[in-house]
Amino acid sequence: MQNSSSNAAPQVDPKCWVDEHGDCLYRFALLRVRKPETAEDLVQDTLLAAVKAVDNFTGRSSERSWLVGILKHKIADHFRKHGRETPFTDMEFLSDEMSHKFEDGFWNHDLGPKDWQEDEAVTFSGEFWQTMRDCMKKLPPRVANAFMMREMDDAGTPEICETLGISQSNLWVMLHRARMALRECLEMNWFGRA
Amino acid sequence: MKIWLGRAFVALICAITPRCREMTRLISVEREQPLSRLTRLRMDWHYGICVWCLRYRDQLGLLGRLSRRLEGESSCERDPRLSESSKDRLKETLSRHHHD
Repeated sequence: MQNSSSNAAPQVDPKCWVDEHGDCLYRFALLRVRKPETAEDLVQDTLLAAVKAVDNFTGRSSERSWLVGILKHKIADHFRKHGRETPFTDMEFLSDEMSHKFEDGFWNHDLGPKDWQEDEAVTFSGEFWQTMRDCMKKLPPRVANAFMMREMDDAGTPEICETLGISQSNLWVMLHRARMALRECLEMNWFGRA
Repeated sequence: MKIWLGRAFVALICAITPRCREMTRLISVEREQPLSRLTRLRMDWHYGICVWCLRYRDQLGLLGRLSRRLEGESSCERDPRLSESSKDRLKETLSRHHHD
């Protein structure tokens, strides 16, 4: 049987992990926690946890997605520990209702969403993805993290609320503002460029 | 007469459907949980007269789909990387723990 070696510990060389997955894990963490030192610490914690848990790695998922899965838990722990107070910048961001965009509750005709004339069938360049990452960085970290957990990781409302220590209605306000700001940023810097 | 009727129709729809600001909130909430049938009906009427809210809805959908692709699209040169010294440090820490 091909799987006869499944009882033996898989060939593990953590040094290879650093070269093969280090940059990917680092980018993943950096997008979410912003600070290079923190991102690096999270990568280290992830790899250390992986070394300990390597017997649980069944090879059913790829090594990369297994490590990313552990990293997601580490990031959630980080936000549980450090991200529970709402900083003033977040409140400012969340209370900005983009009033200039609306007149009496209706879109201001010159400032309403433009026709983007592009859809996902188009191959987006590296420059586009960089623009998108730059737009994410403009959001307050907790708000960005809520958005990423929701839209990138497809996490459910209870999980995000528990991680960030917020109520469902707070989360929905966060997501609403994040989506509005990201849409606006992408329009200004990519889709709406003349 | 026709213009007057058209305007009256738009004014009526405006009066009985959510305003655009409320629409943007509902469009976001709709991505989290299903809305009531009446709310969806009122939103559909609004889409009938408001191209901006229609674009807003479609663009939030695109934003979600593009976000899911973002992690995989990291091939650009300006991407941040771990420095060589950080990598060496990580390798050292790991090999220490691995042989414990």
